[in-house]
Amino acid sequence: MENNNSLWQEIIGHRDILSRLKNAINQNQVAHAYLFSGPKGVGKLSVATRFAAALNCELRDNTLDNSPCGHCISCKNILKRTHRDTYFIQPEGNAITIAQIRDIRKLVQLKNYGSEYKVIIIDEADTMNRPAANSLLKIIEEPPGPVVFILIAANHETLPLTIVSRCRLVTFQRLRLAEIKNFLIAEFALEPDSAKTIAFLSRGIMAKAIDLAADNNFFKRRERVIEAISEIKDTGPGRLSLLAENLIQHINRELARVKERQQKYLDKLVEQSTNKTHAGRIKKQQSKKDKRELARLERSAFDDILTNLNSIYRDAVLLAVGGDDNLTANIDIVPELKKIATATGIANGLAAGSHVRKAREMLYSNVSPELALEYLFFSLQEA
Amino acid sequence: MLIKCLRDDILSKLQIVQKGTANQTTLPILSGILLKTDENILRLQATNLEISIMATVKASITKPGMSVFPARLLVDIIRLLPPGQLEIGHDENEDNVVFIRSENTEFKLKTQAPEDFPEFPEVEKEAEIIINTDVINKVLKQTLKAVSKDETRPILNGILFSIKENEITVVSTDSYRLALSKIKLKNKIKEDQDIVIPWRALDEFQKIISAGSKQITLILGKNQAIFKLDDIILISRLLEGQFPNYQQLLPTEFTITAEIRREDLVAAVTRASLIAQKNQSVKLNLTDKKLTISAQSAGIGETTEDLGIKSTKGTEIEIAFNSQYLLDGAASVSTDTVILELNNSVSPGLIKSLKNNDSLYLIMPIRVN
Repeated sequence: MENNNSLWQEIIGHRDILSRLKNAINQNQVAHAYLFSGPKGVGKLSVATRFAAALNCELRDNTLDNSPCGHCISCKNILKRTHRDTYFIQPEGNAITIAQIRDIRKLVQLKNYGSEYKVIIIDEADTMNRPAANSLLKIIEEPPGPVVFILIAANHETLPLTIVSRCRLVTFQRLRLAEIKNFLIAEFALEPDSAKTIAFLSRGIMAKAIDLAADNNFFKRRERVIEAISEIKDTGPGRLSLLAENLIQHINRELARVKERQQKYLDKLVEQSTNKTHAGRIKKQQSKKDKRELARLERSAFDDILTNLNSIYRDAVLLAVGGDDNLTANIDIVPELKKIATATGIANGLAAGSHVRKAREMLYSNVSPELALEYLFFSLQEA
Repeated sequence: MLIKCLRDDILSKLQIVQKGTANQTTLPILSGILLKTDENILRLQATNLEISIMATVKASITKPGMSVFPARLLVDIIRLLPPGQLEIGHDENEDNVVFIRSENTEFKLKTQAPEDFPEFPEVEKEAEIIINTDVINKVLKQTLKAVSKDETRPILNGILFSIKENEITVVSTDSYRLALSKIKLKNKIKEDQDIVIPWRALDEFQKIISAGSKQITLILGKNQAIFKLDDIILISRLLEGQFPNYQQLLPTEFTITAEIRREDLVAAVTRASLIAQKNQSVKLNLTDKKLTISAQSAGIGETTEDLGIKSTKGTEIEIAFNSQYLLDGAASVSTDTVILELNNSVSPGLIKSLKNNDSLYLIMPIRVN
């Protein structure tokens, strides 16, 4: 563990998994196929990439911890995804298609360019359709030569059992609060209290924590949420709608920025395309992708607001029953929380929590976010 | 980068190198050709991760460097430009823009960073073999026909080069037929070696061969094979896996032998295949005086043809073959007389030349009722 700059060390958490993978290399017991399963955003692809690098690193030091060096040509190329014996597969559109797997089959039959292992990383392997999975099955079963497949899936139950049973299963857990907190303090120079708040709200998903930390609006948005909460009790229905409206506008402003960025990127793509039909196709594909991204962002922004609300009510109940300040999620705003706690009380705080849950359910059953939010505010007022 | 060269010089080489580019791929840069200066020549490189091709062009280098050009566009542009001097280079003022200029024309093209272009593979030499062009050409022509295009058994998508002392045995099979050719070498090779080369690489190389000189060099590495023809280098990755043991498949003796004029056989089978369309069989009836070739297809018609034969040994036999496979076999013999060897109507037949066993073509019969 003395090698602090090693690529293994860059991984946050997952120490048990890393040591399993290291041992596999040490004892020369690397499996043909691995299935990395676990929630999205906890670092499966990062671990897979570094494992691929470790398998082929030219300067790997077996006496240390088998960490890939990160600066030999092999490591550099794998990290840049230009390594000739390492292939990355990602869904084209919504699914991994049989054409992609066929390409891989062809490449697997060829001898290596000189690396020890061919590594094939299939991200979002659970999006593979049936024909693709069946085709993959044939190569996973008896790959010719030294090949390592790494399948990455958030939900490996949707993969055919025939595939799962041929892979060594590696289960990724959500990260610990402290792991994320320390990372945020080190990488984003956050105050410990802010870092803890974000770590709590990320629910152990590193990607989410990074998103929140990189999001300048996070604290501003929470301020609005707190404002809304403190006003909800003693305000008329008109003002209540307005409060909901304000939050929505806040989100829309963010979305508008994303839209602008998307448009710029699209213009650039079109400019780079070789001819008109090509440009048309790119435009169609990209717009579809952009729309999906926008919808996803909108939903996740509302989701963030709900998470905020939930964590604030949770903290309020905690303080109302006399819990320790240190146990609060929004530890950076304890005085405000205390005010809310006194105003809300235990019973109402608990009820509020279930209203938020209900609103989230509505959101996921495609109720419009505006409606869900208004519904929530009115129920909170009645509570 | 800034160079000057003649349009005809670069065009012929570009058309060769272009065959090494990838059509549709996850790495877009592979659809490009890398142009790289070196002393007073220009190197052209392309790779599709299975094969890599490199060639050189005489050029006057004003400014050394390298750039990636979109392959198809570059070839099309240069083909349509008038003969004469071209100026090719990287735009000084704009990133990722390259240009091609002839006397009155200028093309500017978008490009990708040449640093992302995969490096030309380095191969550890294990053996170097020099072969005459007409020999390798004949061998490839014969064996490429019998190679399997079916991807369920990937090892059969390659051609075996089995090197033993001073001989290379080249074998291909699609499990219905097997082609075998031997290449005699001047020098002994130190270590025996079996390698399997993907047929696509050999197909591309065969197309290049006609353009070059009398000899080619074959360099063997652990994972790759290099074919060199003058300044053109083609590197192919080898296939993983074990090629089927072909010696087991070759019958050691035959009870029936017939000598037939090659031209007569080819002509007769070609005629019969008009009726035996779509993988239907042609039937061969061999007596001690003649060979009768017939075919019939339900709903189309039938044909019969008697063929004089030079000599025959053994009993009478009736046997059927796929017409196309039989034709390929007869065509692969280079002598005027073809020897057809058979055992019975369900075991494989062998087609070879009168002179020696350097080129064999084994073919599975189709059952006749």
